[in-house]
Amino acid sequence: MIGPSFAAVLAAAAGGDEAAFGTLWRDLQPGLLRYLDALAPGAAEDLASETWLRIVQGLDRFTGDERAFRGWVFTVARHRAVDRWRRRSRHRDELVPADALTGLPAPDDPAGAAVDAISSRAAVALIATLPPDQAEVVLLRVVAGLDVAQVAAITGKRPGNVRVLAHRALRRLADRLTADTRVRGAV
Amino acid sequence: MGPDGVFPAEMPERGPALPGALDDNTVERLVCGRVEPDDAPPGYAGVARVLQAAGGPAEPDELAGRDAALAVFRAAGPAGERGRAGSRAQREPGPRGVPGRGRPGPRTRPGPAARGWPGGRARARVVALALAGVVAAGGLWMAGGARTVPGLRSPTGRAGSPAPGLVTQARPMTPPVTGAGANARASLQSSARQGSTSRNGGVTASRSSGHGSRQHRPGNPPTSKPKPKPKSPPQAEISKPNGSEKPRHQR
Repeated sequence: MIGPSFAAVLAAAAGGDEAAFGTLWRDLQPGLLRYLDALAPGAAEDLASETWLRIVQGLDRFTGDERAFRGWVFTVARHRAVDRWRRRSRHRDELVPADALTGLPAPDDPAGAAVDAISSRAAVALIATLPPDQAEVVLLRVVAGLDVAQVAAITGKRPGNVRVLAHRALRRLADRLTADTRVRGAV
Repeated sequence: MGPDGVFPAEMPERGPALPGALDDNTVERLVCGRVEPDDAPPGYAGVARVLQAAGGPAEPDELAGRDAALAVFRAAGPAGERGRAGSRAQREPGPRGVPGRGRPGPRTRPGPAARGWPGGRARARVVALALAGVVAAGGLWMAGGARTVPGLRSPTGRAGSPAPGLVTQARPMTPPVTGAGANARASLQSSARQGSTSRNGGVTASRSSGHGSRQHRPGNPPTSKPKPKPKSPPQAEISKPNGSEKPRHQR
């Protein structure tokens, strides 16, 4: 989060200041990549580029605070991911780069990889194994830093549904980590 | 030796606590990363660790595309957009004195040829051709209304033709006649005007009934085809009935 200086940074970026835009980009890009990596594994970089292109094109027309700006950025990112999913659904074959496969957890030990390595990528990969709606809610809350109302607006759900999905997601994560710990302890 | 009389190595290891239900406040603190793994509810230590890692600081590889993002910003950002806007951006001062506002961009407004619109002589040529077409169409329309057919010599051969090769066929402006009523009306008219029927041969009604309403327009009664004369000039061969001759626009 940029904080109180966000308004000045945004105004400068809208005026063409590259340093100000770099501040916005540095603040949002990591969360954007993690969110998109869970929604579209292997295409996060491309989708993030498309997202930033849209953001740049509409930057001088945006009005709002930092919270609204983050919500706008992740809304655009979600639209790009949905568009890609629609395009890919027409073409069944999908080429996945080999580098993307190394970041995915193995199906037999996802929790162990996440807890042991505890890197952000492994943690996001573990969250991505949740049901899609639960994973998206958790990522938007944890990675994007959005509140319940914003997540509800982005995903088209009611705030109560968002809370329920977050509860279920954390419970499922806990069950999976606990079961993995027991399995590893038994071994 | 433990309190139960067994060695600690022989004691059964206590497994991790089963995760229980969470209240909304705890969920909120977990997803915001404000719960340390040691302070997490039973069974949620790993969850707290994973959520903290997922929302952790940026890693170097995640910030590797900064130059590319700045290039996109330079090309498609507000400055580049104003540059494409051209003179409009030069006239408008920046609001609140934001630097960079109103700065002329590197690109100027593309010319008419770049926008797909012909420019200079080509545009004048297009306009002239369009005007010629309009004039020709209007002339044809007026000629059709005045029963003037280009290239058709008068069957009577009378003097006083409006122009060489243009002959006005003087006919009464009768209302449209179609169908079976046309035959009855033609018979009545043929008895009334014997002079004209002798020239036209009384074929007006029969032709109109045979060809339907294609030639029946208000102010444009059905015409009769003049009988070919044996001494007709060769222009009559190329003349066609009224309406089928269309001038070709020469470019």
